[in-house]
Amino acid sequence: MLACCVGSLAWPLRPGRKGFKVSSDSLTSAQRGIRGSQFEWIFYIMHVSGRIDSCGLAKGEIQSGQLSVSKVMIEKLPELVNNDAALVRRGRWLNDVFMVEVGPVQYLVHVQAGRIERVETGPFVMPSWTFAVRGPEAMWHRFWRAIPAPGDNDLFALRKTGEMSVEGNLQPFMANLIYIKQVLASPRQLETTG
Amino acid sequence: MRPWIEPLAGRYLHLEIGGRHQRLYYEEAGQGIPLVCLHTAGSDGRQYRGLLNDAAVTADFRVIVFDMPWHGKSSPPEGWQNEEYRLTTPAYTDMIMTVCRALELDQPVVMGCSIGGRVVLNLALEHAEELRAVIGLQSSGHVDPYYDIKWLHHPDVHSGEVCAGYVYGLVAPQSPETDRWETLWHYTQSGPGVFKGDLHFYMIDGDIRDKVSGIDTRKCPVYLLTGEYDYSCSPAHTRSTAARIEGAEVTIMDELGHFPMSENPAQFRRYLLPVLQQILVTGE
Repeated sequence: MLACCVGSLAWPLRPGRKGFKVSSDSLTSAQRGIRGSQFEWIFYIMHVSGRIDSCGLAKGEIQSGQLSVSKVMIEKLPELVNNDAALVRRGRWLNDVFMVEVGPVQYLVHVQAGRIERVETGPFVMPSWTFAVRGPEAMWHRFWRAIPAPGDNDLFALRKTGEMSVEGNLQPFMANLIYIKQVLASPRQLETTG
Repeated sequence: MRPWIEPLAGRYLHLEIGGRHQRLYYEEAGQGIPLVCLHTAGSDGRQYRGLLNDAAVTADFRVIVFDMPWHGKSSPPEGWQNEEYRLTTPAYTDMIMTVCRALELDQPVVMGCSIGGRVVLNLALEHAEELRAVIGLQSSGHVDPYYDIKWLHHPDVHSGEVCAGYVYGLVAPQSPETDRWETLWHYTQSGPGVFKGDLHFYMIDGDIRDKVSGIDTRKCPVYLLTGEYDYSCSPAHTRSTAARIEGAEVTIMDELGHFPMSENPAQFRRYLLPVLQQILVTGE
């Protein structure tokens, strides 16, 4: 258990900003296996999502290495999307399951009339999906920054560099392009929540 | 809100372009040096609404913005329903010069964005004697295809929605929401297949990389301004093109994307006004 690990966490500080610091004095070996900046993000996301208070971790998920920033981001999709009436309306014709691949981790996103009904986390034995959006974890982290850097700000920008791929039946992807782009970018809000 | 009227006028020009009758819509405002503005692929002249209303520009420049045939309020030519629209380098170049001559413009400055930013390089190459200068926004000598453009004109998707979706991320994150969505609205109104037809020039026909070194900037100065968030014609593309044009001036614009004049007119004018001032001073 990590206790009182935040040296100077004062809202709205966040990773990458001056003043944000997470002490690693009492990290377990598993925690040290997570790279510094990544750990800061994990801590930050868990904080804004209410999964930890400002002085400790919960549930021992960090220790087991099972929780990643990406997992939190993806699991937040139903809340982020379904609370946005305009976004749900934009996707009202979409009833499908699509895959999001964040590095080696697969997620199935179930959409019903624009609402994200649920997100399943892999591994899957025989997954069924209409289209898949894939990219390495570092790409998604850059894409999810509140204000992404040039080149990281759009799925097609990442497609152009070859980091992101889209495959499968692209008809629903293209027919709902702005909706899909907005859904997958919605975790950016987490950086400014609070 | 008190009603008010913008200080610009819109007219229809009838002329022959490429041997075909065209009914061409254009808007203009101001007086002085003619400044002809070219819109992006799949859009129309409304992209320059900020410039047409900018007194700092119209005090010394006669700003003229026309909708290309097939775009905006310009009609497609007779028989359009039986053909596939495809923009080519000679047709595009000829169209612009034909409009300039029809309006009897004396030594105009031509400023274009994206496809327009590309074609001004061809204008500088082939018509330097008739032009005062060119300004290329989001200008590059070539862009490789990086997505499947067939979806832009496909019965299984809404043409307007998907065109807007394609360019959605080309607007910088910092651009005002109102101007972002106005810019996208123009794309939703594009005629079926028109954006795709323009991209034929942008991605296939209009590769000018091997020719731009022939531009003589002493005859026709070349100014290139590119928004940092444009991943289609990126700052790297512009720098690479400029490196082949001796005397070309390059400016990379912060917090702007592919549509600087439309997505954030206030930010764009910070970069454009010094260029216009330079052209004004040079002409005195």
